[in-house]
This record gives sequence, C-alpha cells and structure tokens, in this order.
Amino acid sequence: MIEVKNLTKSYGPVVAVNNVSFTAEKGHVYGFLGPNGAGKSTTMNMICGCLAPTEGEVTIGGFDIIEDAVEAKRHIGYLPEIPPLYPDMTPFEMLEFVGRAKKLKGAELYDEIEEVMEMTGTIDVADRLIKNLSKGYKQRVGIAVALMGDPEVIILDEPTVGLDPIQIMEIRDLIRELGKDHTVILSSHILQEIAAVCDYVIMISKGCIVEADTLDNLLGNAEDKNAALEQAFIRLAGESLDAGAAYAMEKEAAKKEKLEEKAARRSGRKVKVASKKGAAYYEEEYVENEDESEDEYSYEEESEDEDEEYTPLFKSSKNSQKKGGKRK
Amino acid sequence: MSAVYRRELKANLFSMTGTVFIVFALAVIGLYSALYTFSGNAHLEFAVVSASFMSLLAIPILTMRTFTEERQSKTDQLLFSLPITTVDIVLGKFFALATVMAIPTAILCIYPLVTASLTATGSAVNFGLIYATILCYYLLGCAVIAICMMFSSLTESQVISAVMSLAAILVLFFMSDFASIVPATPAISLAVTILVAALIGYVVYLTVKNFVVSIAVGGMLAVASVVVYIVKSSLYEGLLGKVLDVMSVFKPINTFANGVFDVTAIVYYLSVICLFVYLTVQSLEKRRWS
Repeated sequence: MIEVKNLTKSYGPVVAVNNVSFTAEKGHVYGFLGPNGAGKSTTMNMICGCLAPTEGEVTIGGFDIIEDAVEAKRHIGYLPEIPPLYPDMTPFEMLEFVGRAKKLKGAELYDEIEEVMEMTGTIDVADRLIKNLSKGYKQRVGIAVALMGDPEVIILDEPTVGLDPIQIMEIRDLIRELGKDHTVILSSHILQEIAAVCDYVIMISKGCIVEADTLDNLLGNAEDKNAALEQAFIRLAGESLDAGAAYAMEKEAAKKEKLEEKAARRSGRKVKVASKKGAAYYEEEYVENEDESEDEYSYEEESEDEDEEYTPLFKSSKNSQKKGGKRK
Repeated sequence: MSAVYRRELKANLFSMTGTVFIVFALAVIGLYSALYTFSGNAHLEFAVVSASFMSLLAIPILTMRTFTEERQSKTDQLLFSLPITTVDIVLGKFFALATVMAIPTAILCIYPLVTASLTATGSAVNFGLIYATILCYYLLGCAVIAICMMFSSLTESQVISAVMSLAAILVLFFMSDFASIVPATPAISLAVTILVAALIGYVVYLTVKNFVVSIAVGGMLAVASVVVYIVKSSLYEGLLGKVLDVMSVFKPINTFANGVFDVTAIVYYLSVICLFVYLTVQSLEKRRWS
C-alpha cells in the first residue's frame, strides 16, 4: 500500500531523513520508533505530501505523492504531531469541512461524521468550539479528522499524547481495530505503546532506519515484552551492547540530576537577582549562565565519548533536537 | 475548492477581521457619498473614486490572517494532506475574500438609487456611468486583495503581513506620482534596466543555485538592453515612467469615472489577480520544497 524509496530530506547541510526505504502492507500496524528528533515526524510529513522530499519517492496505492498528489492523498488520513484544528470551529464543522474536501456529500457526509465521532468518542463535544476543548479532546478530534472518509492508509504521529490512561486504552483498541483492514503507521517514543499495538517496528535514529522487523522477530520469545523492546531500542539506536545500555541509562540519570541541580541553583539565583536588580538584568544573566553550563556539559560528554568509544543514544537525540530547533 | 471556500467565507464573516473591513469600507464610502451628495453634486462616481483608496486601506486587516494563521496553528499540514491542490486552496481563499469584498460593493450599489430619489430631476444620475465605476472599484478591491494575500503567504506573523500589505498599497497608490517625477532621459532608463537585469540574475541564482547560469541570464539581459540602447535609444525615452505607470493599480478607476468603459483596465485587473494568485501558489509550494 505504501512504498517509500530512498527518502531523503536535507535542510542545507543538515540531513533530517537519510535514505529511508520501506513498504507497508494492508492489515498491519507499523510502529515508527526513535528518540526525539530522529526524523519520525519529517518522514511522516513527507509520506503525506506536506513536505517535498529532497530525494526519493513515496507511492500510496500506486500513486506518487508528488506526481498524482490528489489521487494519492485520497487514500490518506493524517494526524500530525500537533492536531491541525481551526480553533474557531466546532468539531462537527471541522469534520464537515474535511469530509467536503474529501468529496463526501449529503447524507453520506453526515453518516460518516456520526460514525467517526462515535469511534473517537467526540459526540459530547460536537458543538463546542475547539479552542475551548481540553488537550485530550483536541487530540481525539484530530484522530477523527484523520479517519474521515475512511482512508486506506492512516498515519498517526504520536496519537496518544495528552490522553488520560483510559482514553489511551480506548485509542489503542481503536488503532488495533483499524489495523485489521487498513494500513496504519504510528510514531511514538513510548515503547509500551509500540509493543501494545504494532505488528512491525521500524526504528529510526538520526534520520536512518536502523532496524525494521516484525515485533515478534525483534523480541524473540522474551517474557517481558517491554523490557525486551527497551533493550532493542537502546541497543539499535545507540549501537551499543547491554553494558552500553546500562551505562547510557546511568548517564541519563546523572544528567537529569545535574540538570535538576542546576535548575535549583538557577531558580535560587533568580530570586536573588530579580529582587536586587530587576527582571531585565536577570534575563541577561540567565541566558549567559545557561550557555556556559551547556558548553561545559557538552565538553564533558565529548571527552567521555572518546574514552568509551561509543555513541550513546541520548547524545544523538540531544544533537538532532538542537538541529531540529534550528530548522524552525 | 468549494470546501476551502465555504470554510474561509464562514471564518471571514464570523471573525472580527471581516466585520471590521466591511464596516470600515462602508463608513468611508458612506462619508464620501454623503459629502458629495449634500454638497449638491449628484456625481456619485467621483465619490466612489475618492473613497476607493481610503476604503481599501482596511484590506490588510482582512487578508492578514489568510495564510499566517494556517501556519501558526499548523492547519496548513491538514490542507496539504487533503486531496486538494495548492491552487484549490489559494483560489478557495481568494474567492472567499472576494465575496467579503462584494458585500460593501453590493450595498454601494443601492446608493445611486437613493441619490436618484433625492435629486429633483432623477435623470441627473447617470446609472450606467456609476455602475461601471462601481464594477471597477470591485475589481480594484479584488486586485488589492490578491496582492495582500500574497504578502500573508510570505510570513508567519499577522502583524508583519498587515504592515507589508499596507506599505504595498501606499506605494501602489503613489506610483503614478512617482511615475511623473522620475527622469525621462534614456541614459537613466538604461541604468535602471541594467540594474533590473542584475536583480533578475540574482533571483535566478537564488532559485537554481547555479552561478554560471545566473551570470549568463543577467549578463545577456544587460547586453541586450545596451544593444537596444545603441541601436534605438528613443525606446528608452520615458521608459521608467511608463513602467511605473503600469504598476499604479489605483489609476484606471479615474478613466471609468470620466465616462470611458475601459476594457483594457478590466483585463489589467484580472491579470493582476491571476499574477498574484500564481505568486501565492508558488510561495506556498516553495515552503513545501525548501
């Protein structure tokens, strides 16, 4: 159903997605797994035609997403990272608009809206303005938008963000249900989520696919699925062995501690300086201080890397996040 | 296209921006009409001409959110993933704005009837002349909307979009005055032409990132203009003024008010609309490809 060939996206010298290829078939749920800033959202944006690839091609049901854009997009339902909703519309109007854009008319349109609202549990808020909805409801309306017109391919970028545990379970059930007769791709950095709903896992790190396999193959016959997946995630993304994984986790804990300590120190200073010389001065001080500490930190990290000779997962995620920030 | 049109029309009419534009345009037109009528002058067409510039100053308020808001709330991702083309999106939005523009214009169409009933001799009102002027006013408004819409596709900030649009309207309004003060000597026209050739070369460089091609394009244009200058310098006589004159979109309405139904002006406005709709599509496409 989806065929992705040598997909590459570069922003000047920064390569966000590097030579990604895979195919996705009907009746399966594919999980995009990777640390923050690995290129998951960029890849999804390219699959849906929101972003044009620098190189490579995407075909949906045999239609090229750039050449036969309208035909290809007819088969896609997409939920981006931030649900794309007009704040001044109600969920009902929103779905009406999307349905019309997908060429639904009359009774067909309203039946579809009702069905989709029922699936996502948004009937209660159908006539409230989207800007007044809670984050969870916005997310659910976003999913409803993606499901309008019953597309064969459903692409969800972190679909359960902002939902409460019961809603998460509902949405996961819904995704599993959809996976039976659709092609579903969902991205997440929550390992349990991937383990719970996906048949296939595609792991991405620094814009490259590092592993693509069925969930069962990836986990073998491990008893604790989550732990096994976590191991695989850390191993693949960081290209290191168990010891490395443990080390990376240790380091993450240390890093957190350090950051917390710094935050505590900073907030202490904040009160002092603010009371003394006013907020404007503090702002300056704060920025300077942050730069210093970051430099200091990355220096430390680099020296450690030289010693250990491996690239820890968390460093890569940090770097690509920085790049992602610059891009915008 | 119709889905985007319906959504946009609703968003424009039920948001403050659409209302502010309509009220402002009607207030300005009403003021001028009242002043002209009560000063014993039944020539409403000149009231429309006088009001045209000021009433259209509110267009940036109407257009500022058109594309900036989409980008701010990330809804452009939805539009791009729907089975509609970028041309559909831009045309849907443009026609929605043109419909909003039609509301004050439609109300303006009632004024001649009122004026006719007020004047002792109803025959003093030349309906054909006035309605032709109103048609020109509407087309002028749509052309300005297309220009301002392009500015909203260039930036992410509504304020910057509004300020750029306002600046553009002011420059266009004073363009015919600029045209009359620029020097008409062929040499200066040639210098400006060469400058434009260099600019075109630079734009080519920005788009294709190829130094040789851009130098070749810019150089060829510059050489061609020099050759034309040597062979027939009379072509450059007042060229600059003529070019600037073509760019003054507020000018043709005067021709209408003076009793000439100028078909070239209508073609001119339609071309301006097409050009800027095209540029908006290109600016949106470029963002996807960058």
